[in-house]
Amino acid sequence: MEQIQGVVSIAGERQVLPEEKCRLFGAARGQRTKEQPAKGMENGVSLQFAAQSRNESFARMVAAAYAAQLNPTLEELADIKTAVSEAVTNAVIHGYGEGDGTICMRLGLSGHEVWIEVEDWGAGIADVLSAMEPMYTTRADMERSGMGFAFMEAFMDELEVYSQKNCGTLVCMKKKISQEDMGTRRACDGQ
Amino acid sequence: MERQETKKAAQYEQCGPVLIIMPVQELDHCCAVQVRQEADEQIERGGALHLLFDFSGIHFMDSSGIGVIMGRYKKVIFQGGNIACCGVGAEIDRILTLSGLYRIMPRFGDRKEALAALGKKRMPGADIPSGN
Repeated sequence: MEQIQGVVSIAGERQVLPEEKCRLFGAARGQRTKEQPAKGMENGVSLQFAAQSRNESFARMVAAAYAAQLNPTLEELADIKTAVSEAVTNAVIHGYGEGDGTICMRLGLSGHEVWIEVEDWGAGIADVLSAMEPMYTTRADMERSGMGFAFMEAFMDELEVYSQKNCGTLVCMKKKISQEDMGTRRACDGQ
Repeated sequence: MERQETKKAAQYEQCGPVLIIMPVQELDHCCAVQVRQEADEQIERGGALHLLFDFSGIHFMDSSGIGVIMGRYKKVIFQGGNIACCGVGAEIDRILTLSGLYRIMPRFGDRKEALAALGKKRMPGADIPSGN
């Protein structure tokens, strides 16, 4: 059995998670899909869809629609859409190599934070820390830029990546939605 | 309303030596695959030297779009071509800034401005007599 690797990234600082935490994650996997997104999350939504490229836009629109309940700014909404798009694209082309598979996206809220998980049961990542390096890509042949994780890091407040070779990958992202103030333009304004 | 079965991912317009590529669908992996193929066909057919990406038709792009631009850039740069962009909205601007693409793809206000700049640009290698 391959070892589970976990990396957390907060404000651009990447840290390898201790084995203990990764093991806990491993044990919880498998039962996760039917659960609420994570402990302490409210209003959980879980969505499973085929690992097809055309579902990328569907997934990011669902995430954006979900986040809308916190009345985010247009910029925050764009951030969430981009991050989800990257995570789902990774699952489609790297996780399943554009073959058949299922992707699960879980959404939850905690106060003014949106929590998003994207999970696949595909190939997994051999070296998570390297994979998160900007410009790192295993699919230069497909003109992948290697900026996926870098964008997730840049656009979200917190990013956790767990992966196990031949078992799959789980990406967890957190985004704080700013409070209404000083008349910032909100996505839901004018509706 | 009838659904268009083969909807193009982008619109193309040949303007002298410049091929204008205007994506009309959100530029994600799905659309990137299409644009890449369509654009390469257009470049081949029209013999474009320079490329102009007009982003006024979209408000979303992810890292897949970066790959498409980089790939097309590599295609034209070796023939002495250049790339530029225009019609960049706030959402696309953040992606282009973050990825550092402006270093190879200058941004212009509109097509006219971009076309004028591309036309004026000295093409590296153009003055070197062939066969030395």
